[in-house]
Amino acid sequence: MNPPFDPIEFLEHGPLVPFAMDCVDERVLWVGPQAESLLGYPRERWLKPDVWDVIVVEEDRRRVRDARGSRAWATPGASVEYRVRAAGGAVLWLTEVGRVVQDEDGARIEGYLLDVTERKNREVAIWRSEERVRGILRNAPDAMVVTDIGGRIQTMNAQAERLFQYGFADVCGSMLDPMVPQRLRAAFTELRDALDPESERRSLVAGQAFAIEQQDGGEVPVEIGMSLVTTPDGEVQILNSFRDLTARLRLETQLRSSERRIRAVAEALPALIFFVDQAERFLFVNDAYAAWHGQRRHQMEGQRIREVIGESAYADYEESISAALNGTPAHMRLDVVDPDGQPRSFDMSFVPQFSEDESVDGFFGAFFDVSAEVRAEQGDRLHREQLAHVARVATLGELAASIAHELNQPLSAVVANAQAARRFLDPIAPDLDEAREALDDVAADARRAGDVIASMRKLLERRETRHEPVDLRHLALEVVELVRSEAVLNGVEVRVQEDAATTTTVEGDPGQLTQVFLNLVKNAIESTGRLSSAPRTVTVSFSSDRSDVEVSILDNGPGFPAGDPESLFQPFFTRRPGGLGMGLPISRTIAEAHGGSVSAERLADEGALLRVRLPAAPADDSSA
Amino acid sequence: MTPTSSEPTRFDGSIAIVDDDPSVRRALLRLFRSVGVDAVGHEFGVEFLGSRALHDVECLILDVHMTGMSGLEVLEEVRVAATKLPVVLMTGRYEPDFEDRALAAGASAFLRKPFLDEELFAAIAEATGQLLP
Repeated sequence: MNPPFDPIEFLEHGPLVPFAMDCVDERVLWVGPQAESLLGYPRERWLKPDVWDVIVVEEDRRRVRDARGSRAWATPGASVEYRVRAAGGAVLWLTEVGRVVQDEDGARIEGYLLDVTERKNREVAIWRSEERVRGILRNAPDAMVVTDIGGRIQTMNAQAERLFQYGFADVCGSMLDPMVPQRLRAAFTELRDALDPESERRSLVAGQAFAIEQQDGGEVPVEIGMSLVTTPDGEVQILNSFRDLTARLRLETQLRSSERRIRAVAEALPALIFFVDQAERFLFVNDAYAAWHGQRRHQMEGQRIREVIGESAYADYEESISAALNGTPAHMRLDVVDPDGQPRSFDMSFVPQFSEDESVDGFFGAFFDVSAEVRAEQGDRLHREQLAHVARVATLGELAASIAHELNQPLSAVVANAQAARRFLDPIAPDLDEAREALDDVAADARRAGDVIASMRKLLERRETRHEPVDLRHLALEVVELVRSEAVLNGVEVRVQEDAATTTTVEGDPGQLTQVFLNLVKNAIESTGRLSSAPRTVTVSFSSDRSDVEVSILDNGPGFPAGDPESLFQPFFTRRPGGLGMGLPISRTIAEAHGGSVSAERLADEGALLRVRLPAAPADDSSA
Repeated sequence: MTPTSSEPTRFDGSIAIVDDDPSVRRALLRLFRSVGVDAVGHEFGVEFLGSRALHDVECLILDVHMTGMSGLEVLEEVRVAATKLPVVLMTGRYEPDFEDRALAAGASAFLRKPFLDEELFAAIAEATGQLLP
């Protein structure tokens, strides 16, 4: 059974401390006994005139005095809250509720005091934490919106106001969800509903790509973050962050489109193209390059070069790769066999790519298939060789009578010697010494005839261009043998200058070089032969410097016709009836193919000088 | 210059050879030696023309294609200096009208190289009217 409510008992022992106070000097006239336990001061202390100065903290005194003097205190229930210092030094919050009472004894305030320290401290904590949150929100780079656990907007920062184009006042307390476009709204709600303060993992959403809708209906791509926060008074709230992705997406789009452009170019070019980083991994390959290795692009990208092409192929490129990765562009031509077994030639470029700090990021490789060009070049060379051969045969045809003479001379000697030897071997009176000498001469003359045949065969043979040491003096002497009869017929003496000290060895094709001398010497003989007065001579002489051997073919004929000596090198230029006019141009082509030259000079008095320059063979090759 | 006698006599004299090819000269001299006929060789036409041989020999074997004076030029000089000397012209080249030119120039006979000894002796016989060997 509850005891009956006793107002006196409540006034003297309840939490409210009743008091009465003089309106003018604020002296306490009476106070309930609880006052002693409230602040730890004896009751008598309360009744002293300076009590308020002692207990109210200095900062609050003026505010308390002002409140008690205000008109509000004329009506019941007016209150003021202030801090007091307890006897032990602790600071407490008190609420003072009172009213002004007027009677015959004068005006006084009657009311009660209540300890509200606990509530007040909580309020301050909340206020402080909200302040902190607002500070964080204000300084955050992203738009921030705080909602309650159900999604109602509690607060937002200025960045959010700008992003959503709403003022906080307009949306405070309304749902955040409508600010997400219709199509994404369910997903957004789901994301929020999945948050669980009890689970560490599910108290957070990070970096979800979403979009928000602005007040004017415009859509902005954003990255959403959500995290649960608990306020000091135990309320769970959601801190929503929105990062505007417009700029980043634009950049990404630009990057993607520049990569697309590079890819478009790489796919359009008739080349194998790839990019390799410092770790020698393919970061980019075009379809053609992937197809070359029988792979697809995405399979190759990320793989290391060695693993894709194999060790032996890698060895072919190793030098170029390391040059490019060290910042030096490299170029090479490589003959390879394609996956179908066909021979191919590639011109390969390795171009280093530098980053902004000038270090090498990697290199672009571009392989251009030049098989067709190489084949065409080979075709050209073949064509040139065929033409040269035709010209050689034609020249030999022109020399047929002379060559026949060169063969008939030794053959005559052979026949005469053989028949003489037979007689010297007569059984009755043999002369063995004569017979032996005759047979020696037979052998020598037969060899001489054989040499003529051999030098002729050299000119007639048709074969791949050779590169071997060739002694130009030896070759000139052979040529002089071939044209001897021609020279005699034209009344021309051909001299080959003897100077053993001069290097006359070059690297080249013996047949082609023979052709050069044959053409030049034959031309010189023919042009000199028209000169009526003796002596008619063609002189072949040699000189050499460190790099070249020069052969001069000097004649004392009438020289060239007026005009540029270069016209001699025009095809079909000839002064000889029945001549082909190909001798000099072909000679020049051959010399140039050997890295040399042929030039003509008109001499001051009479005659002409033709010079053939050819690169000397390497000095250590003295055996030739 | 066809010999008129029905009973040709044996060749009894010496022969000069003018050919600028030393091995041909050497071989022909050896051939004449093998049949016991005296012969002298000259490298150049001028050399022969300036020598006693021009008047001493009974027959001249002359090559057409030579450095310096050609055989035909030498023959021309021979005709001036020693009109009767029988001359056999030789050529190693292919010349379609060689025979005609040789005879027109006053040669007694002609030979195409290479030739057998019997062809040589026949040509000398034709030129001199005397038989060899």
